[in-house]
This record gives sequence, C-alpha cells and structure tokens, in this order.
Amino acid sequence: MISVKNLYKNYSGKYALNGISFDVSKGQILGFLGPNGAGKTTTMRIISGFLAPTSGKVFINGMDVFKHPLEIKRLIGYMPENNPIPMDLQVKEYLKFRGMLKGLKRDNLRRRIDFVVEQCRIDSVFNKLIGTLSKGYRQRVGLAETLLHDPQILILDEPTVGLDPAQIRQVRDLIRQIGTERTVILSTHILPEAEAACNCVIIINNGKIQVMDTVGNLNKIHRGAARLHLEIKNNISKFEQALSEFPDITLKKANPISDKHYSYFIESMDYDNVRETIFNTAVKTGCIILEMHREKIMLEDVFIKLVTQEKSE
Amino acid sequence: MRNIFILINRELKTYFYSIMGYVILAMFLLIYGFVFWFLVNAFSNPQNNFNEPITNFFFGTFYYWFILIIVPPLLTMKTIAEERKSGSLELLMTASVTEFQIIISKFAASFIFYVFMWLITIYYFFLLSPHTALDWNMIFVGYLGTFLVGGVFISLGIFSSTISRNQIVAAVISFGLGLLIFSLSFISYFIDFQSVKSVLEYINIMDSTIKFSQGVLDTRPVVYFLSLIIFFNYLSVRILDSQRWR
Ligand SMILES: Nc1ncnc2c1ncn2[C@@H]1O[C@H](COP(=O)(O)OP(=O)(O)OP(=O)(O)O)[C@@H](O)[C@H]1O
Ligand SMILES: [Mg+2]
Repeated sequence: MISVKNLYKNYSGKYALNGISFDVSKGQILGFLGPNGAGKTTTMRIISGFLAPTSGKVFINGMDVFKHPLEIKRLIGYMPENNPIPMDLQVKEYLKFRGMLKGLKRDNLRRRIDFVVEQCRIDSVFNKLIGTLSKGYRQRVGLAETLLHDPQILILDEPTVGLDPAQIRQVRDLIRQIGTERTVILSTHILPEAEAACNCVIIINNGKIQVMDTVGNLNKIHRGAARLHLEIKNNISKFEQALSEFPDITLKKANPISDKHYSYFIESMDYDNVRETIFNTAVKTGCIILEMHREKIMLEDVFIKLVTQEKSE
Repeated sequence: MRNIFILINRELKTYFYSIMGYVILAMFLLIYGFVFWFLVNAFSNPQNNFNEPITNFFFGTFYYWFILIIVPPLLTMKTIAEERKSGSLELLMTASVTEFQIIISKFAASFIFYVFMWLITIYYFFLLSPHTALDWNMIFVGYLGTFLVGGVFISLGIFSSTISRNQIVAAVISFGLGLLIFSLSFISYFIDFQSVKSVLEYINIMDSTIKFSQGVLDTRPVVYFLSLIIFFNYLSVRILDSQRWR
C-alpha cells in the first residue's frame, strides 16, 4: 500500500533523514516513535507530498507520490503537527470548505459531513467557532476533516499531543475505530499510546530506523530480561549478602516499608532461573518472601534502551 | 476553477470575519471622507479658480499615493506568511489544490477587497452630481487606474508574503519594494539618452497613474501593469512550489 524507499532529506546541509525505508500494508496501524527531532514529521510530510525528499521515493498503491500529486492527495487524509485548523471559522463552515476543496458536492458533501460529525462526536459543537473550542474538540475537528473524503490512508502527526488523559483515551479509541478499515500512520512520543493503538511500530532516531516490528514481537524480544519486584522480611542483611554472590543478579533497594519489612527490585538476564535462586536463597537465610512478581517491560524501556544505546555508540 | 472560487470565498471571509478588514476599511473611508470634504471646500471657495476636473485631485492627492503604497501591504501581509507560520499552509497544500490555485485566489481575494474599498467612494461622486457637471468617463478611467496600480502592489504584496514566515516582515518587504519600484519612476527625469528615456517612461508607474487620473486611457500602461501583475503572481507560484525542495 505505502512503500517508502531509501529517503534522505537534507535541510540546508544537515541530514534530517538518513535512508528511511519501510512498507505499510493495507489495514495496518503504524506507530512512529522517536525523540524530538528524530525525523517523524519530516517523513510524514514527504509521504503526504508536502515536502520533497533530497533522494529516495515514496510509492502509494504503486504510484510515485511526486509524479501524481493530485491523485495521491485524494487517497490521503493528513493531519499536520499541532493541528493547524483556522480559528475564525465555525466547525460547520470549516468542514464545508474543506469538503468542497476535496471535491465533494451537494448531497454527497452533506452526507459525508453528517457522517464524520457523528463518527468524531462533534455534533454538540457543530455551530461553534473553532477558536472557542477546547483542545480535545479541536483535535476531533481536525480528525473529522481528514476523514471527509473517505481516504484509504490517514497520516496523523501527534494526534494526541497536549490532551488530558481522558481526552487522549477518547481520541485514541477514535483512531482505532477509524483505523479498522484504513491504513493509518501516526506519530507520537507517548509509548503506551503506540502500544495501545498500533499493531506495528517503527522507532526512529537521528533520521534512521532503529527498530521496526509488531508491538507483540517487540515485547517478546525483550522478554529474556526480567525485572522482579520482591518483598521480604526477617534476616534481611543475610539475604542481601547471600544474593550478592550471584554476579548476574542485581539487587536494588526500594523504599523500606518498615524496619523489618523491605522491598527490592531485582534485575537479571535470566528470567527462568532467577526466581528459583531467590527462593532458595531466602530459604537458606531464613528469610520470608511476602511477595514476588514480575514487572511488565513496557515499550518505554525498549524505546529508551534503543535510543540511549544509539547515543553511547 | 471550482477550487479557485472556493478558496476566494474562504479568503474573503478572513477579511470580513476579522477585525483587521474592518479597521482597514474604516480608516480608509475616514481618510477619503476627509479628502472629499477638503476638495469640495476648496472647489466651492470662489477665490480658487480650478480649471481642472475634480478627478485629477481625487486620484492625485498626497493621500491617494499614500493609500496606494500602504494599503496593499496591509491587505496581503498575512496571506501566505501567516498560513506558513501556523502550519495551515501544509493543510492547504495537502488538499487537492495546486500552487497556482492558492496564489491566484489569494491575489483575487485581496484585490476584490481593495476594489470593494474604492467602490464605496463612488457615492461621493453621486453626492456631487446634482450640483455640478461630472465627466463619468474620467471617473471610470480614474478608478480603472487605481485598480490596476493597486493590483500591481497587491501582487507584489503576495510575493513578499510568499517569501516570508512573518507577516510584519512581509509587510515591510512589500512596502519597501513597492516604494522602490515606485521610485524607479523618478529616474527618467534625470536621464538624457532618448532610447533609455523612452523605456523608463514606459515603466514609469507614477506618470502612468497620473495619466489615468486625468482620464487618459492608454493601452500601454494597461498592458504594463497587467504584465507586472502576472509577473509577480508567477514568481509567487514558482517560489511556493520550490519551497517543498528546500
Ligand atoms: N524546515 C526545516 N528547516 C531546517 N531544519 C529542519 C526543518 N524542519 C525540521 N528540521 C530539522 O530536521 C530534524 C527532524 O525534524 P522533525 O520535525 O522531522 O522531527 P520530529 O521527529 O517530528 O520531532 P518532534 O518530535 O519534535 O516533532 C530536526 O533536527 C529539525 O531541526
Ligand atoms: Mg514532529
């Protein structure tokens, strides 16, 4: 569906993209993750045809984006960074203006406006001035606008930035719902968002793709490493000493719960054996395990690991 | 063509929905009301013996030139620069519209507002007509000249807005360039070579405009002004297009 081939982008001497290639197939929701200045916006602008790459190509349905700009624009619904919709128009006027620009006429225009207003739940603000809306509603108006011409592809640049948690959840649900029959590319800094909304993730840094995989796979790869949460009481110093003899287990003290009752974080590369070792050590030293559970490794850890790895190289 | 109408409609709304449009309009009418009052007083004073028609002055006072130079930058400074700054240019350029359609509709909307502004002043002539004989042909040519020069400065303003990211910068550039192009008119007074002089006379914006205000309809300045308008709009389209390759 979308095929990005070896993109380079040079902004006045400095490369913002250093050979980005990936494919997105129909129906996928692709999350674009990366720190500030990684090149997310630049990539999305090139895919949408707003910017030209220095070298490299983008194909959508086999068509070169730069040879068929008008056809491509019809396939794409694009929401730029910061959702720059005009403040001086009413929601109604804005949707009508954009719908007409996108080539919709009379009945069809009315039908599509009704549809997106319902889908994005903005009927209560339909007659209001966009400038008077809350950020969450503006974001939904922006989303509604991208859907007007029923595009096969949605490109959303940080659609949930600056929203409160409840609004983030609502907008995310909306994206997931919209994405059921469309191909979506969205960028974000918020990792749980990518985990929740996307089925595939690209982590990009310094204009290069670090990782591209499904969300499930990413979690699996890093399953080997485990982080346990442990609560024990009695003979604590003995337990600590005994455990310190295992080189591949690191023990970090968390806040003590009381003077006899401690909690720890334990990290090890060997998830299966570390639990047995801890149990045996506790028995040997006469320590009582109150609680031991595994902390879920979030994409966040993966992300931070990958990005900082890159820096230290 | 449909896209151009849709865009012009939207652009006009930015003038009529915003305080900016009304402020410019109000100030203009205030100033021109004063000019009119002043001229009527001067003409009705029996001590003054004017042999020229009132249009020579109506399209020829200091205020007239001042408005020609000042109003187009104010009308056009926002057009592209503001959209680029807010990011809505991105939204516009990723809809199915071409750069040509964007520029031409911005130009047309500013021009329509400008023409609208001036057309209101026609009623001054209607006020006068019961009391004195007026040459409506001259009035028509005067307005035509005003619209054409205005069109040149508006296309220059759109061009300045296309190369800037900040509307104040855009206004300063178009004001400065406008003044400069206008000043080219004066060079012809100091040059003696006949061939160069005739070229300079041809491109003399001020003298051409004065001819219009005297009711002289000549095709040469019409062609010249129209080609300037086309030239600046063409430049704007090229620049807007090239900006994706930055
Ligand atoms: N118009 C521009 N001119 C010059 N450099 C630019 C321009 N736009 C972006 N850059 C540079 O290109 C790099 C990538 O920027 P980009 O906006 O794509 O990052 P991003 O991943 O979207 O970041 P963020 O998360 O902050 O939105 C940055 O180093 C940025 O400074
Ligand atoms: Mg960005």
